[in-house]
Amino acid sequence: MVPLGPDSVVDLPGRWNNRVRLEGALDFVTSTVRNELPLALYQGGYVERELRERSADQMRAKNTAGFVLGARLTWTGRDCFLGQRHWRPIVSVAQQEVMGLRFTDDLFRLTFFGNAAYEDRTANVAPSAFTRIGYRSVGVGFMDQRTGSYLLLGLVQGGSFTEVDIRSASLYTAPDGRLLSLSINGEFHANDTAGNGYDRFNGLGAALSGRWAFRFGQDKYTVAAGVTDLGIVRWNGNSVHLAKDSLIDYRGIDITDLLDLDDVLIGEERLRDTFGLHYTTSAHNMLLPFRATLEFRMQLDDRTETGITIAQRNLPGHVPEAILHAGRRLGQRTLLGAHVGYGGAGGLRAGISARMRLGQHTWIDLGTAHLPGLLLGGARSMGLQAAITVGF
Amino acid sequence: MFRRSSAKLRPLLLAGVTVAWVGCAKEPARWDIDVLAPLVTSSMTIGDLVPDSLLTADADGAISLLYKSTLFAVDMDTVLTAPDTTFVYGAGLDLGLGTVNLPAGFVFDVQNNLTRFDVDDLQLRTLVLREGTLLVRMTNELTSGILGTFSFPGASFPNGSTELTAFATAGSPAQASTTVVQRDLAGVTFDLRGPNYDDVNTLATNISLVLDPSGDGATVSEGDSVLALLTYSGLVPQYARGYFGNRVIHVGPDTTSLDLFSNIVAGTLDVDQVDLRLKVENGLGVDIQVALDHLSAINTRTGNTVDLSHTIVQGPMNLNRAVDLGNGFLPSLYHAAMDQDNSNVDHFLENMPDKLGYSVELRLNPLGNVSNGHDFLYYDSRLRAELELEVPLRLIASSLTLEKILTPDLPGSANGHALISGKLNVFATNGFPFSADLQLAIVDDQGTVLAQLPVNGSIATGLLGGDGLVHTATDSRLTADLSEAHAHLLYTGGKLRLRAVFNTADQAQHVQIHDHYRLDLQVTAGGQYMVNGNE
Repeated sequence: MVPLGPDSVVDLPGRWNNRVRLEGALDFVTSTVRNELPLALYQGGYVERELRERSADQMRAKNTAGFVLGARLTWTGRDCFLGQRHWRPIVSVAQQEVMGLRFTDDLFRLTFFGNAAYEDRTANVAPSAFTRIGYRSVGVGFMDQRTGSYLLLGLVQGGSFTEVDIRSASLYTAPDGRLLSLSINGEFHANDTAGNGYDRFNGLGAALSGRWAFRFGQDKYTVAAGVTDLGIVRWNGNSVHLAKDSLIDYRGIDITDLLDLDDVLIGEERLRDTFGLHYTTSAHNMLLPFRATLEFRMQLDDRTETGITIAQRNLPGHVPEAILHAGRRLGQRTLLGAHVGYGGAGGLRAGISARMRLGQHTWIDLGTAHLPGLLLGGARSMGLQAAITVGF
Repeated sequence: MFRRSSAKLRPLLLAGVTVAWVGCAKEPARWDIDVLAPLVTSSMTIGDLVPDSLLTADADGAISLLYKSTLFAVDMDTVLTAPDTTFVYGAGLDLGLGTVNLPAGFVFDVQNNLTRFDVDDLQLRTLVLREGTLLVRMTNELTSGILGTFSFPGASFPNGSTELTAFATAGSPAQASTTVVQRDLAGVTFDLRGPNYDDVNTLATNISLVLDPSGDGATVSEGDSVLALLTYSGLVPQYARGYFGNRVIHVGPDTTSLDLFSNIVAGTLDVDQVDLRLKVENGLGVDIQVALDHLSAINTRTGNTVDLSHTIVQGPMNLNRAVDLGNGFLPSLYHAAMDQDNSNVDHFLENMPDKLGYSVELRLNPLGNVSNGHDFLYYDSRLRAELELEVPLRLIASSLTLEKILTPDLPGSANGHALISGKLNVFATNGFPFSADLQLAIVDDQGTVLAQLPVNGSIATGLLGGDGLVHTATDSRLTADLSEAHAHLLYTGGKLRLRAVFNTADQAQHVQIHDHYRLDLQVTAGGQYMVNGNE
């Protein structure tokens, strides 16, 4: 979602020495999956077959999905930081949970319906990829209150991650299930299985966030480039790793005494031995799912602005997203905005946002990245963002 | 008026739930999928159905079953048992002597005794002990210490000594002193012919009681006494020689278990040829006459019993004595061979017994003391009867049913079934000359049938050529359905009972099993599985 642009009437930038902002965001994006399915998965319990089939009916050969769930607390101090008149110090702490997914139609159907429907057929489950990471960061930096440019350097505590990259894979199910032939070339990484708590440092890293903005044409036009969480995490030596590049033909576990079937049925350890699915452990370096943006804003009049933003996130299934946005001030306290975007991990999205100043020191931001996702049961993608800012 | 549409409310609810995302406790999501996968493959020859150690094959690959079982065994301790025995020796002042003063070193008493061992009807001349203990307990009422010397002229101890001494300190009639001395008898040889070498079971025992030579003597009154108890205990013979008597030892009636047919629960078996050999090994140095009262094949499942009809149950078997080699023995062997021509051993075997019943009478020395007292036994001497069964696997099987109870390890638990329902497919390529029908049932711990699983199809027999051999294997397919109710029974403690019913290809002629015959099986399953169903 694109944040609303600055407005001196609503924001009252010169009135406060300190500003504390608490914000949270959830953004779920998908090209084909109906929102009801991830909601049902999250709620738990039995997921109805009809619900799964509604999403399955919308699948294409290649599908994408992703989500961002985060919260951030930021303090911005008074100006004259480091002797610079317009610079203000920033300290920010954040918690992020980010996921990106690229998958095939067959992989979706295998996962949610099984392989029985693929009898005497081959299911193509690649190219597919999945990345999920949860991390916490603490950053310090400064911002230029004239342009909104800022720089933040942060320390990252890695909580958990899962990374799957299936470059090529297919599963053939013979008639009557007499043979399963799996061809796979892929890799799997995950964090230390000992735990993901806040007291655990499964990974440690650093990240940089910043935005450089340039105004011209008597401040009518703004061009800005930015990046959020550009950095790396090194996961500890207990991170698990599995790489496979093989063809496995499985005809059942070979036993000598057919009458001794007690331990045959779906013993996980025996299946792992059969398929050679045993992890190794080693440290792992991972780029954070940074987000890079390039934006252009134009002030139409003293109340209205418009612009375009190009964004790209470092996650599987994500392509550059183009967002057209516009905002207008209503009265002295309220900003309204709307945007239409295409790309990212989903398709066309349309959202709205609003900022309202309460009194002289408090601002409330609300918005949704995709309004239909909140209104229509069959929609794909949805998002919510909220923030409260206090200046003093 | 309100109009509510659940469809319109749902997205708002979706948003509301989403906002309440963090901190909500929830159960894992689960969903059912349809899976189709192979379970097991197996390839069996006759060696996989019957342990290889029981099978032999001739040059043509024709298989024979060779099965051995011990019928009964009589160990050495049945023939000779030396009980624990205590001998009491006492010494005191004769009545009428009043009180006398005895000096130090005075010989209070000397006895030359003959110790007779009670060993039933045996007349032992020599006994070498493997284990045993001699305990001497001396009680002294005299006011002087007493030195007791116990010598055994007829004994030979490993250290060469034949004496044992014990010293009891001074005591009194009111408070006698006691001393205990123990001697290990392992390796001791007893000549039980007595001091004149003309007796049996007799050991000379000489006792000397002397007042402490370094003491002050003692004043002894009438009634003051010294008592010595000699206890022989834990005697285990290593070797014994003598005459073991003319006596009868009864063995049984008893049964011995036979596990050859333990998995067969129904059906009939018709074998073409049976050879049953009785081998009796006599490791005792005694002539023995064995009278086999009966030998029965007992099938506790059907309740049928077949008594063996042969000369060995009609008359006694005479066993020669073993040969004493001096430091060991050479057992004598007796063989009796039974087949379908000289007995009913085929019917005996076709009863498929799980127990053999027998009753045996052993007559030792039926002709008396013909060895002139040279019967012998060693510690590991025994009389053992062994049955050896040889059956060429050339047979006719009619509804011969093997049964196995399985406890499958299903994913999930009684509260969370991961497996909901399913269908088993069995693909068979059969090169054996018999067909097989499979029966599946769910039973409880007592074997009571809770449900029958319908099985469609059967495993067809391999095709026999004109030479009676299988030349072409046949392919077959069976299916068995496992419903949701069946799965629930398995999850809640039910076991899977698998029965295989075999019928040979030719019910009129015996078919020979060969070592190269094989049965290839593959089991696949298609079913409904609940992802996270075990959470």
